[in-house]
Amino acid sequence: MKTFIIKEYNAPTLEGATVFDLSQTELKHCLGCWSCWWTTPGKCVHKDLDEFYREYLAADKVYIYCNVSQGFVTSNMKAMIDRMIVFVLPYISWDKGESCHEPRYDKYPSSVKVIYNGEFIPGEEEAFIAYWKRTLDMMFVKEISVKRYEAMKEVQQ
Amino acid sequence: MKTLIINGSPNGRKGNSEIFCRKFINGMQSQPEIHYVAEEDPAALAAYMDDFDHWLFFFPLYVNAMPGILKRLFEHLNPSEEKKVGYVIQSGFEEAFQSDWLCTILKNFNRRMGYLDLGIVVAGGMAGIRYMPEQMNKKTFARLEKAGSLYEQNRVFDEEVIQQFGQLYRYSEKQLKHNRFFRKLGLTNTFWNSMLKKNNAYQKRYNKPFGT
Repeated sequence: MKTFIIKEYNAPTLEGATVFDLSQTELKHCLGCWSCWWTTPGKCVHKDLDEFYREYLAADKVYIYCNVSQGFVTSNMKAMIDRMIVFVLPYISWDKGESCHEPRYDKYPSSVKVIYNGEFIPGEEEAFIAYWKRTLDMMFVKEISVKRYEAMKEVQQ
Repeated sequence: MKTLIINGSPNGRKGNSEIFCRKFINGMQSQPEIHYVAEEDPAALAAYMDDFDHWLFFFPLYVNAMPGILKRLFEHLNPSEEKKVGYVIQSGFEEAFQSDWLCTILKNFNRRMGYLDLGIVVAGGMAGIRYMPEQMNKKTFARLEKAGSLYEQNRVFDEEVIQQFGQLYRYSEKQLKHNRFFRKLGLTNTFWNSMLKKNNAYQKRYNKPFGT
């Protein structure tokens, strides 16, 4: 069982897990060039996430410790999410009753837990949770959990 | 009223958002300035925006939300009760509901910042517009010009225009069957395949460079 941790704030790490520290990295933003779909399929023109792609796909379990910014994810986290489109093909299927990109890979992490830290105004937290669930579902993750950092600590105790 | 248009696409002047901005402005008497998140420092752009009271953001749907580069600009904006903000989203997916998560995020953002909501236009099925002949986009462009003209008259996005753009909210069962049938025939991938072939990448289209 391989675990991969992505973190934007100081959070407990598990023994043996690989850690990607987003708090120490300012990611390059997606250029919208579509090179990852039609020039170098599966590869982004930027190279700063290549190791992240390898570790994410190799993992069975992923923990994402993310900060809340204006009731949503940070721009740095959004840069990471945008650039996860390398994980899917440009082709569309309608098997789920809506347009969905087809998977590029046979294996994705089976479980992703998002543990967020930050403040919301009413209505934002539900939208934040719904956003993550929708996004991870589109990335073929089967078990998705999105919880507040405090609530998560209670679960672990 | 002083309107500023923000092109929030990472693709800047080369993307579909630019086409959207230009067609929208075509419908207006006044010619608002366009600024680009892909080209400008976010802090400097945010400071510049402060001189305008109407902000119109044009951008593509990126993984269920705004592109990260536009979110970076948002992080430099200040709360204000004097700003009026509208959003024009275009997505590759045909169905307007695919932008629902983003619409909720934007409405929450307006509320948090105290901005007055001018409306959100969602235009689906727009992935290839910059590669299509003008004639094929005629209806979309006419709608955009109308949207610009009505915005200038009413200082808010027209409800009918919003509805026209979002007409295909979800596919019906019949449309889904139709799409699945054409997918089996390989006819729904023609645009992507032609671009892959053009870039000599067709044989590599299923590559898995980082996993299995």
